[in-house]
Amino acid sequence: MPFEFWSWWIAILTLTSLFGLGWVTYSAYFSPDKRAKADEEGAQSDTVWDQNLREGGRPAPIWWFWLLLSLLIASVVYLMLYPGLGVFQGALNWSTDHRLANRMMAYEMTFGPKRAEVLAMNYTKLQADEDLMKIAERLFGEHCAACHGMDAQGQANRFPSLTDSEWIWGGTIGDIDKTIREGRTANMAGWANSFSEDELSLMTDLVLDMNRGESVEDLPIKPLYDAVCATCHQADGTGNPLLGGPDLTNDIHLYGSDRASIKYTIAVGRNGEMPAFNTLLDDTEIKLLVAWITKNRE
Amino acid sequence: MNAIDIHRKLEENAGLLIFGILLVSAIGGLVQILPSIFQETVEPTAETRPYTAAELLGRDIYIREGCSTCHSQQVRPLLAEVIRYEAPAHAGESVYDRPFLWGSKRTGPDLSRVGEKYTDEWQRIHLINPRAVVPKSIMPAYPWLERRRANAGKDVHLRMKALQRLGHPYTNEEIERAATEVAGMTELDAIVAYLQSLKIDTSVDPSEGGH
Repeated sequence: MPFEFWSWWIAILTLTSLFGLGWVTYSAYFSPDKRAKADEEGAQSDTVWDQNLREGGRPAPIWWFWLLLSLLIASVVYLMLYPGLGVFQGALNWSTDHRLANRMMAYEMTFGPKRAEVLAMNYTKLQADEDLMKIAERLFGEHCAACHGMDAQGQANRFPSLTDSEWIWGGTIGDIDKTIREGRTANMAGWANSFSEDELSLMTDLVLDMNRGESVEDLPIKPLYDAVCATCHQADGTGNPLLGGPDLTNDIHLYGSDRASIKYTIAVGRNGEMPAFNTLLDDTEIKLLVAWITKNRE
Repeated sequence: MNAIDIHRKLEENAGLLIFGILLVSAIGGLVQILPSIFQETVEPTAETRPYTAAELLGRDIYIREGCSTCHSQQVRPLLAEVIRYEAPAHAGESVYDRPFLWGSKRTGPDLSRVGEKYTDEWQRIHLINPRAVVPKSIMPAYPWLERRRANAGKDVHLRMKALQRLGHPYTNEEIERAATEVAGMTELDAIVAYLQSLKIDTSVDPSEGGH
């Protein structure tokens, strides 16, 4: 069946039912009713049920009629103004899409200038603005806290703290901004296949020594460290934020500080992932977040 | 002829009364349901594709665990929802959902755009124990998902075949290699694959709401 057919089908059926209801309402109240008349005359209708049940004729209260009539009129007015009769859009040309688009526009007009204002502010000024920092904190709660925790303290031995001094991918404003926008994927390789069990064990000891700030220069495993680990972690273990190689010379551990966790990291590797937020957050939101995170750290 | 006379006739004749009741109660369906049956106008949006074998298994687990009793999958065309969840739901996004999982209640957040918002690892930790990452979460833990095989019934290809018969554009090769694709997958892997597939369809004009 063609589209137009169904449009007319809906319109005609709807209007016919409306007029039908109107007629029933009117007719029930204002047609001469033999029974009502008979009732008035004291007589009773001739239909008898169950030996002695007879039909009496009492008209319904008249305010019901006005109520029904006004509802019917309201329906007709509604159908003239709003979409309802097939493809007819209604005189107001109302639609959910339009309503949403209008609200969106009003929203942009209210907050657009404010966003531009925030975008133009420098970070020190942003961080001094308590209201804006509250907004930033809420943004953090909505988008970041699921992984990094409500206080940005990190959690689950998987998601790094943003409150300590260690920044795997760099802690400058530019670095953090880039991390939020583009995301990061750690590329710590697993060495179980290339290292012998002894080498794995010795390397774990080396990392533990580094963590404690002890010198590792004389360790027999150090040449192997220099060959495979130093690219990302530097020969002295201080790490390289450009490659996401964390500092090994402090006591900050993302995946656990015990021997087993560190050995696992060396053997199997770690590929922790920070998703990119460039499609989810706009420039202003990212700026607020960077401001809040760097403020927090201080 | 007036309404009272007709009423009297209907009262006195049960057959007519039944017919009258059927006629009146049919009108709503004739206006609202019948035309939509004859108008298959809902086309998949550009980025909507049938679920892969893993996603399909994940979806069935999502249904089994009753996720949709607390999580909706429809973004309503309201300002606050669009700001929180991006573009409103579009009918074309649900063409490969049988049954659809729009849901009617949000104890937890809407999930129709949750894909790629979190990493796989976060989803795994969170499903096994939500409190590990969201301390105040009231979501139940689903630790058994990690221990069970996703395709334990070895029937994923049959599920796909049934959907193919209903018109989902699976190729026969896809159905044949489905079992190998999900071999070794746990239920956790499957449901994470499903959750990550729930994405914003960027091909849909955001100003064009749900229909």
